[in-house]
Amino acid sequence: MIYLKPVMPQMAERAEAFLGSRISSWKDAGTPLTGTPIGEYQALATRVDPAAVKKLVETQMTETPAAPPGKDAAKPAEIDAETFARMDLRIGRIEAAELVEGADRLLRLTVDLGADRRTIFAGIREAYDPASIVGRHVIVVANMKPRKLRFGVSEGMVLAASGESGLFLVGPDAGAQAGMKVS
Amino acid sequence: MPRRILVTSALPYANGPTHLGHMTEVIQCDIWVRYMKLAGHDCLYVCADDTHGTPVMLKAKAEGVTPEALIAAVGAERQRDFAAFGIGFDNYYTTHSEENRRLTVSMYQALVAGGYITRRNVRQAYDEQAGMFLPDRYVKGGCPRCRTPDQYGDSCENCGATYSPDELIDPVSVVSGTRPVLRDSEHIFFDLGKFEPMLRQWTRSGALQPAVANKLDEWFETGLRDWDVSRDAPYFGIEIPDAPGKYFYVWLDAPVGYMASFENLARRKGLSFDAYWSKDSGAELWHFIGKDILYFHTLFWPATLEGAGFRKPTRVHAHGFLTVNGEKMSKSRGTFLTAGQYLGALPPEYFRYFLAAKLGSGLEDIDLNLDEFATRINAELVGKLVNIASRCAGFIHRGHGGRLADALPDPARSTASSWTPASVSARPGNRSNTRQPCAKSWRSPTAQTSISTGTSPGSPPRTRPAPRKSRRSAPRVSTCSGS
Repeated sequence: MIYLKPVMPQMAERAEAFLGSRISSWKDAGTPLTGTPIGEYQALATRVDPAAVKKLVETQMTETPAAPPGKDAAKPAEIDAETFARMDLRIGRIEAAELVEGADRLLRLTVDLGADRRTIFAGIREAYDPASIVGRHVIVVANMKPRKLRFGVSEGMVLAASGESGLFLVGPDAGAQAGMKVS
Repeated sequence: MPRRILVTSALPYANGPTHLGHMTEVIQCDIWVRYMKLAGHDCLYVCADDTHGTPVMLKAKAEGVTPEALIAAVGAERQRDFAAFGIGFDNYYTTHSEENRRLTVSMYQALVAGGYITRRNVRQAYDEQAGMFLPDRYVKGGCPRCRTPDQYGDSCENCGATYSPDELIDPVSVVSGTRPVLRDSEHIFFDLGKFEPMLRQWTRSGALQPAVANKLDEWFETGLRDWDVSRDAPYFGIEIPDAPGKYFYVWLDAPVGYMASFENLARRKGLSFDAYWSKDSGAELWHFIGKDILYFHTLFWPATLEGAGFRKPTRVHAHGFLTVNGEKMSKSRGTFLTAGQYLGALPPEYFRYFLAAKLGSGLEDIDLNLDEFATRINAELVGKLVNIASRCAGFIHRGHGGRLADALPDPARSTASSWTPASVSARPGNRSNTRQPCAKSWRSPTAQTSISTGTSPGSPPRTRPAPRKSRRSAPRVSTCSGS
């Protein structure tokens, strides 16, 4: 533990309390501890919960792009029509929706875009039960650069409104078909 | 004999949250300092927030607060994060301080007196609407080589070309969105070239890692250019005494922040400033930095110290970048982890252990692969080291009255040793590496287990006579706990 004292000072303190002996110098490592009483063992360190590690990945994958630090407070800059036109927005029909193991915010959606079919990971799990959205029409950013996530590649983005009262998928009026362009 | 060492880590810039890249540096530095202290050396660790410059000024403006309020808020958050990760600074200060202003100004005056400062006109992009000169990164436009739109004024992210902002196609100011004009302004330069003989010698004095010394040779080959150390108002920084309306470029006053933080500490603790900073100081001065700021710390900084009559660094130790799951930490790629996000999910000391187990002595990047992270913590730290303490505690309490044996029955078989890591044992010029102590922390107790048992380590202690029990347990616990 002496070797780790510079690395993990708090854990070293717990070990010192357990052994009833203070580490005062690196040289102490040369002398075995003998003839002293030890305390009750209390956990010095516990296993990492893989779910906690995954939660970290997810925070990183879903929160950051949505809210780049420092940008959220500012009013978005104006853009011209040309910039808007670079976005290929399409009507998509959700063909399948499933939970993603190890990701408690994401749903894996299979979305029909008329010309093709995409796999999209959407951070909507807290608001929607997978079965309830199959068959719904949504708006998809179709030329979104594919994103490699831990769970697979996400090939687009599904638009949703969000605020303090929750998260809501955005869809077209009745009659719109998968693949139609939105502009 | 105890060494007297002053250690610094690079000053984090005060315009955003603490991320795991910042943490990688201060943790590496903190482990080194804690080792030195434990080994009986007189070691001090100072750092500060780097607060001046255009990015802080514009960020404050965007948020509708004063730069002072912004740096105070960022500084408070930064210190909270560092404390949560157990960083034991002897002093954490700010470059926006009276000490720093005074030291920077007096260094500048010494450089003027030494004939190292010149002035000449510079043509620079100017935003007429915002009423300010624009640093290269505040002008954007099309790359003059490959025509990719929306590139910074200094280099193209698509083709890698470097150029000056006036070469951009349709340049616009990031501040106001208007087209900048070119204006002349008198700037103040530091004559770096005059220090080349000294720098060439210092470079090979053991002050740098070999890879860094080689990099410097390339820079010497290219030639050392004058360094522009002034910026025009409006600028958040330290005003230049003999040039009203002009400010020191933030990179001039930032490293002086090391001295200012130390001076602040010295006054509180009654230490001698000169004992650490005068030309003939016998103390060591170690800077831990990222490889992206080598030019500033291995050329400009030793040259300004020399020119102003101070001592030079004993050692500049550079490290690589932290990558996450193999990718560069980047906000746009979503691999940007803040200290706060990590703390919300995992114990801070696990990150310290992981880094210590991974860090080498060179400039290689360190990858935070999250699967490996879980494996190292669960298999090495918990499965090997902690588990032995927990099992032995049971044996010792049940079979030996909660007391360690009075003596080792066979001291020759003990793995206890006052081994000194090669990485930190020697004088400056040697490598800083924390992998060995980490591996030894669990390898030696596990080796002890197999030596001392001869049977399965889990055999119930009650089947053995008491003396043997204590014989088995005592050395195992004592080495894994190490004391």
